Amino acid sequence: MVSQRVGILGGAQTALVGRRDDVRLEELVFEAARAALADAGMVRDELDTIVMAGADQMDGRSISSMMAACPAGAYLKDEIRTTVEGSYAAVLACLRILSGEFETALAITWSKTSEGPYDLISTLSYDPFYHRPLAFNDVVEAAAVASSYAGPRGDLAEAAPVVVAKNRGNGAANPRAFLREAITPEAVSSSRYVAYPIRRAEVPQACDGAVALVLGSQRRALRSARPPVWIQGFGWGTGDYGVGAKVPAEFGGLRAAAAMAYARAGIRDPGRELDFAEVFDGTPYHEILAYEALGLAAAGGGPAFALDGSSARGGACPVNPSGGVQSANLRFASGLSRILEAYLQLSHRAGPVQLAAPAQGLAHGATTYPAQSHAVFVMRNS
Amino acid sequence: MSDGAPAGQPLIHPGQWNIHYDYAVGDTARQFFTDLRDHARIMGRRCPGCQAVLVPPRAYCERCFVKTTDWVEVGPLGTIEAFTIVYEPFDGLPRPPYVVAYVTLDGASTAMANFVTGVDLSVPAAAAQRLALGNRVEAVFADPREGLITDFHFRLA
Amino acid sequence: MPTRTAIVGVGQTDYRFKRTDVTIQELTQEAAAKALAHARMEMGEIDAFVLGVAPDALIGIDNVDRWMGQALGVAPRPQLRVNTGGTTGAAAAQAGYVHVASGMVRTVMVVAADKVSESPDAQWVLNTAMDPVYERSIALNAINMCSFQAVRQMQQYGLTEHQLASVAVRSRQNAGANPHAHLRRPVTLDEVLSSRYVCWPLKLLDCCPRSSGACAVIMAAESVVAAGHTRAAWIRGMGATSNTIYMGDKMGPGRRTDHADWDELALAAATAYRRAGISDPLAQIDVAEIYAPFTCTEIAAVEALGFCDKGRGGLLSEQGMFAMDGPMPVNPSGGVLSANPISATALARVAEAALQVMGDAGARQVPGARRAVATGIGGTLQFHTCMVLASDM
Repeated sequence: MVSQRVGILGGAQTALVGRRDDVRLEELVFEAARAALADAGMVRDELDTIVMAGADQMDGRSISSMMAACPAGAYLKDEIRTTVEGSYAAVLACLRILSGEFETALAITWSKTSEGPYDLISTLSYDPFYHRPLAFNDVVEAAAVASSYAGPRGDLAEAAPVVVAKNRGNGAANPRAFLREAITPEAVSSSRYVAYPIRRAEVPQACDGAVALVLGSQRRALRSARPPVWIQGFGWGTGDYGVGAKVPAEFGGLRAAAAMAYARAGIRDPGRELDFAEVFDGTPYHEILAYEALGLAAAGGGPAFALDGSSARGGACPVNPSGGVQSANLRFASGLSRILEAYLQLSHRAGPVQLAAPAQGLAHGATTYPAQSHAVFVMRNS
Repeated sequence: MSDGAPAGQPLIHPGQWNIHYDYAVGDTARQFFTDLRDHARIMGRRCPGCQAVLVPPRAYCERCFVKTTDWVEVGPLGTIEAFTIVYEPFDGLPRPPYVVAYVTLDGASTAMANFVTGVDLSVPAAAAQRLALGNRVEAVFADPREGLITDFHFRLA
Repeated sequence: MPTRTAIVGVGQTDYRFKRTDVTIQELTQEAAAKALAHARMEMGEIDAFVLGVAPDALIGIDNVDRWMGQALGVAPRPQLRVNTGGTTGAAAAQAGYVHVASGMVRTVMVVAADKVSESPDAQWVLNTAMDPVYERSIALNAINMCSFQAVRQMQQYGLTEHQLASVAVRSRQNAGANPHAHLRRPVTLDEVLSSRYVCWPLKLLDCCPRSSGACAVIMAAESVVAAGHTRAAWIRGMGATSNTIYMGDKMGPGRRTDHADWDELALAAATAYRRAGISDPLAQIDVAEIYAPFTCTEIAAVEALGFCDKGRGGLLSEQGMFAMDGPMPVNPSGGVLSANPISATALARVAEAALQVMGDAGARQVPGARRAVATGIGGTLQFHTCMVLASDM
């Protein structure tokens, strides 16, 4: 029988550091897989499928799942790999469980970009004829997207440093974060421009790490070792390609993903029904645009949602109580890390960053450019 | 296929990928390469579960899904498990002909790849005979050594 | 119950060495348009997309699926890319299947494309898939990993170069009837046996070409099929098994699977067969499309699929068991030995199996085919997939 919803049975993230030299990539993957299984109180034999997310050029290995499959637990098991982003391991794992073909899945992803030239790889993601010769990379395009939105909107430039300070403040208290020093909005505003309007302090330093979640069908989750957190709904969507797309700031891919997730989860008024959200905040502009695309704030109301404290801890809908990507830039793996942080909140295991009594939350993962892919998960603890 | 486009020579834009990586080999392989470089010896790792001696050494056993524990010296003699003689040139790979073989070093549970030298490759069938599965080889160590897998290769024993 | 899911449209470009007249975007569009026409559907009726692209380096654009998606007008709809090496197209088909079977979407297009001729020798790229610490500098690549299999088959089962050649001759014979195939000229046993050694014991004509081309498959839920499709290839079962990248672990005294055999494919097939209700594959399966880029790999596959005992595949190939008019037709398309657009290669197996059970395979149709099996392999012969398609639900 097809289960109606997927349960999260456990999860883990390796300690985040700037560069892990003590382990090779595969050993990092093994570390996360083992820890997630232990957290779920399960052994490898109980896994029906392994769903990985990894990106060859970032990993420095063509078909990097060749090396990563068995350290992720896939020896003589069903296994598949997507290359979109960490959160898509969870998307594909949920699809596989809901299809009735599998009862349990390990969704796993990693990012060890300390070993390679990230900016160059980002540039190689652009088509070789129209974009790559113009030296685009993800920050340059993010700046173009931000400015296309900021143009008519004076308050966006004011809100961006506030979002960074909020997230870094949250991250300072989170033992799982990488950057654990708070920063003031003034310090953000006074850092130099990387690509206008994006400033140095708005682009977080990257770290190495791996994240894994154990997922199960409704039937399996009901007899799991610890109380499951339920994925009530999820959706995924794709953005327009490249800088020339008509209105990049509309975040159509995220809107589509959220609509799909909300429809399945029965969410009508996300701002009221969600107790918190963990969203992609590779730059503060991404987070502010996500407030609107996710329906937490009205169209055009994103900057105010940050400036009036609505997204702060204690606000109407705390966003990135974990500190977000601004405090833990796991690059490719960031989305699954958001889901893990939301899972920990809903299972009341978030430690010093635990919110009072969240019942329902949202997690969002996104790729960088060109063509931003988004995944949205609505999660409940009952 | 050229609707609306005039016939003509294809237009080709050149491109280049040159991505440099600094691979961390991790603590387990660091020990292996240090032993190889400084002591000209080949070490494997034993799985505490299935007791397999994994060569090249892995920090974990994929089958038992546990961390490996002990170091075990293997070789330098070993047995050919599979081989090929490469006669075709490939971009970026060595100039043919050359032999690559998988060899189970004495004391190991698994086979390890390296080049085999010292075999006349001019007549394929004759060369293949000398490299037949089960034939014995020994590891030959380079001097000086750099802490790379090419610090040794195999030759017929 | 999972939503019953069928393939309702298949589109393939012709597979050729070079396509300098189109970009990878246009190549993708070409296959997608053909699949839509075959399904009598429009792009707006597609709910989600799965793209299969193997190493980006073969095309020279990182995350090239995003650019391909633009050409299909995907945004803002869901798109997900799969890359599992050689199995990519088959894994993408399995990912597409769960999109529909889960009930999350009603239709999905699975597309894969490659323009291998624009990158340097593929073996260089495939060498970068090998362990950068232990094995990359030993010049391992996709051809010699199959040579390692062949020498073990020869030693353990007495497989001969003549038996291997019979696979090449039959594949190229079949390719003559497939307008999409890249290599359509028949070859003789003597030609295969006298072709030069590439990686001993594999000779040039034991090896697949590298091709450019695209393949698209449209899958739909039962309700969609009932509303508008007279022909459908129902996905009745699937399975996949992964093994270690380390070939040496499949050779030493501690081995649990052997590099000579495809016990991993046997495991994947057991799962697919169980779900499809197949207990006697030789009797119940009418045609097989096997991912066999080298002659020796087809021998391992026919054994793993249960068409014959281990070690018998070579002899039976030589005796005609797998010919179009034999008891178990294998690779009516001409197989991978006749066309290898790497990212799309495994999807083309699924596509051909679907066409066969839909009765749409043209001059290469196996008469009355009702059940077909399609396989994929990838990595260091470490990834295996199997899918069973049928003309009935």
